[in-house]
Amino acid sequence: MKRGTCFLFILIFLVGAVCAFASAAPAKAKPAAAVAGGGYAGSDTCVSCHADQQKRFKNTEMGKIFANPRSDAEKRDCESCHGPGQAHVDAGGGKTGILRFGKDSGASAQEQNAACLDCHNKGKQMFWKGSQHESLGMTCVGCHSMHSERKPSQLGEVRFQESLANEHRYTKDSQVELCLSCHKMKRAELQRSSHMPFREGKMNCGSCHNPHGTPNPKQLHQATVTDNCVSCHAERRGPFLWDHPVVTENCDNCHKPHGSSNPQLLKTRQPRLCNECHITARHPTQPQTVNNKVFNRGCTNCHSQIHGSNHPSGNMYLR
Amino acid sequence: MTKNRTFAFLTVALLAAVSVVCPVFAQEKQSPLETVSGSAEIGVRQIWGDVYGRPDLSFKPLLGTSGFNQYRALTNGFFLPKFHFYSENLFGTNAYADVRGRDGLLRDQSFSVSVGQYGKYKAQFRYDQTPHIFSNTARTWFNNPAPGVYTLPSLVRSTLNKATSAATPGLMQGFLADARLIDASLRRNTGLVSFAYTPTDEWKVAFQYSRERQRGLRPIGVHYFASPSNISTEVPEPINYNTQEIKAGTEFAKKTWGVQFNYLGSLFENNVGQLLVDNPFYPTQTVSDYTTYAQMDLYPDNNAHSFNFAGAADLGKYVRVMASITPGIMRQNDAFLPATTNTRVVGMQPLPESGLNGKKQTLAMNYTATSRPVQNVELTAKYRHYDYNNETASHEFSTVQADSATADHGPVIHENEAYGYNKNSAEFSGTYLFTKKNLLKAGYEWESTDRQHRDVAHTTENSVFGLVDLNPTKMVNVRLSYRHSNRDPELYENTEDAQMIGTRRFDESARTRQVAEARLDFTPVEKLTFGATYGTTQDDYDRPDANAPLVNGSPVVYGLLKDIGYNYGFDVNYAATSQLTFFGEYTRERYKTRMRSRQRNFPVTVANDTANNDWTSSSNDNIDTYTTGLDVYLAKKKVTFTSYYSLSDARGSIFNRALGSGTITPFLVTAIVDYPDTTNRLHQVVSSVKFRLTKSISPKFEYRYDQYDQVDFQSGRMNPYMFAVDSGTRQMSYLGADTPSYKGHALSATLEYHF
Repeated sequence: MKRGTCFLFILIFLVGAVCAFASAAPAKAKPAAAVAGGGYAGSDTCVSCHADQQKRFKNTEMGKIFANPRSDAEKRDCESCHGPGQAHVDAGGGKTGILRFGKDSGASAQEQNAACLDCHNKGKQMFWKGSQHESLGMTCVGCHSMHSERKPSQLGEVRFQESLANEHRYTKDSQVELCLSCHKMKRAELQRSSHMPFREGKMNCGSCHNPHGTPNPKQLHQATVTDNCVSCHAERRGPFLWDHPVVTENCDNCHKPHGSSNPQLLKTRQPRLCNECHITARHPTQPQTVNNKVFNRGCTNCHSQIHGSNHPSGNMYLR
Repeated sequence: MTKNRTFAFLTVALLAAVSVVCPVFAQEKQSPLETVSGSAEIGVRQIWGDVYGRPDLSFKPLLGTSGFNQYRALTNGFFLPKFHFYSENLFGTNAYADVRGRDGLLRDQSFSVSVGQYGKYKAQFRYDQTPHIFSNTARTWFNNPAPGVYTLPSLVRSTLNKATSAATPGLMQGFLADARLIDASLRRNTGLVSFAYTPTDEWKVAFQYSRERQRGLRPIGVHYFASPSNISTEVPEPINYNTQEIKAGTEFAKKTWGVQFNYLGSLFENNVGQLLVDNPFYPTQTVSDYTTYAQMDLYPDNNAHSFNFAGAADLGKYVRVMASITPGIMRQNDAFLPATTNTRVVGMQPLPESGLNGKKQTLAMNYTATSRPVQNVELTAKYRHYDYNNETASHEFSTVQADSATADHGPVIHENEAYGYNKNSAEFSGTYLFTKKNLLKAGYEWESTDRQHRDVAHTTENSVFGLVDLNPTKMVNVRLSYRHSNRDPELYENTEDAQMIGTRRFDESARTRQVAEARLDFTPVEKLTFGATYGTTQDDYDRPDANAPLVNGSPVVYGLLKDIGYNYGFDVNYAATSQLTFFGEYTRERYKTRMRSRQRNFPVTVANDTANNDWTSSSNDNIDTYTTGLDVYLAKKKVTFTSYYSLSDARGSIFNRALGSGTITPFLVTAIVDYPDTTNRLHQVVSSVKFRLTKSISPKFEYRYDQYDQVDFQSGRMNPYMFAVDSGTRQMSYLGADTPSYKGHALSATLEYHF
């Protein structure tokens, strides 16, 4: 890394850090007082029975935010998610009179999610409603665990190293394991010899997809598949003098992003992949024996600029 | 000491200093709230193993640069698997600091440093290195005096120039025997800083800057004659890329509505813009057929910018509308290289411009409305418009392939075409919860695509889909889904020069797609789960249109005809006791494609362009994946034993058949053969045992074994000289890049310290 870039990184980081420190309020010894009344029992009442949950929750990121509440909802502490608890208290506890989460909840997925969406209806969750996962009745707590930070299992770690960039530590399992628990065939694809650095923890499902929903196809972060791919492979973005239209339109036309048993994540081995579209004259149309158009990288031995060429004589993607 | 190590040592030193200083500082402040916690793991590792399957090589490929380390760095010696430092209520404030690292001192190390205040600010720095090994058998005979410049000694070139055809193979074999090994790999080093600020519960601003540096070498082919079949060579393409990315955004959201604005800028820079490679056979320019050196353009610098405006609002209690509008622009204006360096080529027109001044504008617009008119029904309507508008000007270029001008190759005038497309789609779907946990979903999607300068100007695709999710008991979950799509081109017109009439490209031709999936989850007891899945995707392109050529009186499609995939799998998860958890999985996948083509020898004439020269090819990929593992906790969880095994077993075959008859003339498809089967098997075993000696000290021993067995007719015989395999490569040289089979063992002992 060049010295100038290093300096820029450090400068931006320090400015951010100084801002954070400068504005940080003095630490408080106690969480803000929980609000009672209007059907609310107040979190002190909750803690009298659920001390263990409170102890774990206050160490979570959300618990720490609630310790310095920014809104009325956050001041309600336990009841900001579980709803007014006075009826539950009056009933002497039990499973009624309070919103409970998870498989044993009497509430529907929509009712459970509404408690979360009361605050989390923005940011990455803005497009949750109407999204693929929402329409299938998935609940937030199906993936997220609010009361304690996940402790990665050794088994999970050896299967898929977790990306350091993944900071979602309040999920029930690592992000990869969570997604693969439903998308089971993707798990097999990720085991292939030709793969992206997924098993090695350099990327994860969230690198390309937003499971909370996006307006884009396949819940991708970017507007198209190609935009998503060129966010890491920027050299293939172009515009080129000689664009290869099938490349420009969708990388998935030739590649399988989750893994392939063919080289370069290809759907079909070369030269057959290219033969599927090109029946011109000369060599492409011959069912070649194993020769210089078949071995090594097949057609791209010569047509090496297959993603696009900027050479004035590169109309055949040769240079 | 390398830069990496210096960086890692500095980070570790910083971590150690902070670990010491912070608690002391905390004591001075006498704040009971200040907390410091974290962990550090240090260890040593030994790797050993074997790279095999290439007895023909004159050297032994190294394990460390084999596929064993494709995206990682398992090496001998000292390493820092991970460390974590966390401090809260720093200096008596409610700010925190979080420092994490992984694989310190290694080529795949990564670090992150975050400081902030929960719900208010966060400033973060991240650094990551990702290696990518392409091959450990690549060799080149070229000298490399400057990046992108490959030369050969004059003596070599003049000797080869004067050699007879019969003598050339022997000479080439001799010269290439001295080819030097190259490191065909790439490394991405990425630094990122981000800052997010939430001044109020409703408002958020965020900024991110990253810079990625890619360095390495990757095989690439270059040519010296119009037909690459004559003289060509393979050299290491220098990868010297820098990519900078800037993201900035802000959001304002109330309880029932919100708006977002984001900017994304990406600047790509290639520091080696061209390749100059000596022609081994022509040291001086004496004829127009051959050039003395090849000049090749590498990826040009480019930049892209996009803005995103998004908003959502609840319209009353039952309706939510969402919109996202993303205009974008991509630009590229690298200076053109000359169309040829061959001084003997005559008739070339001057370049119309000094650079492309390429410009593409994109516009993605998405609108969604979703409503729950009643509690158990959700209705959703989506409309999407995506415009890929290529505003690059078209010019005529005088082209010669590979700097060669021959009677039938050039110079030829070609005009660049500004490919663009436009997609519109609309989807309507409804979900009906007929009980609290059982639902039915059904919908319809329409998509219309317009393309410029392609075979099909307009296609329409209609899809219907349905899904049922059943939970008859708490123990059973069944999900069944099906989607049927029909894509129809308005008119298929072959636009490519010399493309056979009747060829239908799969991305724009008529297609019937059927996708079905089934999933069963059975949880007889809380600790035991069985799962089963089945899926199939079947694409049928064999739908001749009115313009399809007739064979024996029937219309026929050329190109891809079928693309079919099946898969099924089973899995079991069992938490037998709090001391034992186990899982096992098996999946089987089958992928088949079938295509039809025609051998059309040059020059294509009516006489030889007949169905008797048709041929067909079927590709099959069969993959079985087995995975199993267990976690065992002993001695009140003071000892953890983990074992994991996976096998991905893939087999591929390509069958080729002539459809014509040798008894009818002309019959050109005489050389057709099946391709040899390919296999690749990747076994992975990991076993580890971790002891929690005290609350803060945990030693761990880990054994890792990877075995990769490959049989591949394409790469498995690659050598710098391939004359023995194909006599047509008499004047060609390669790098001999292969990723041979390997067995790799890694044994590590680490000590984890928690504080």
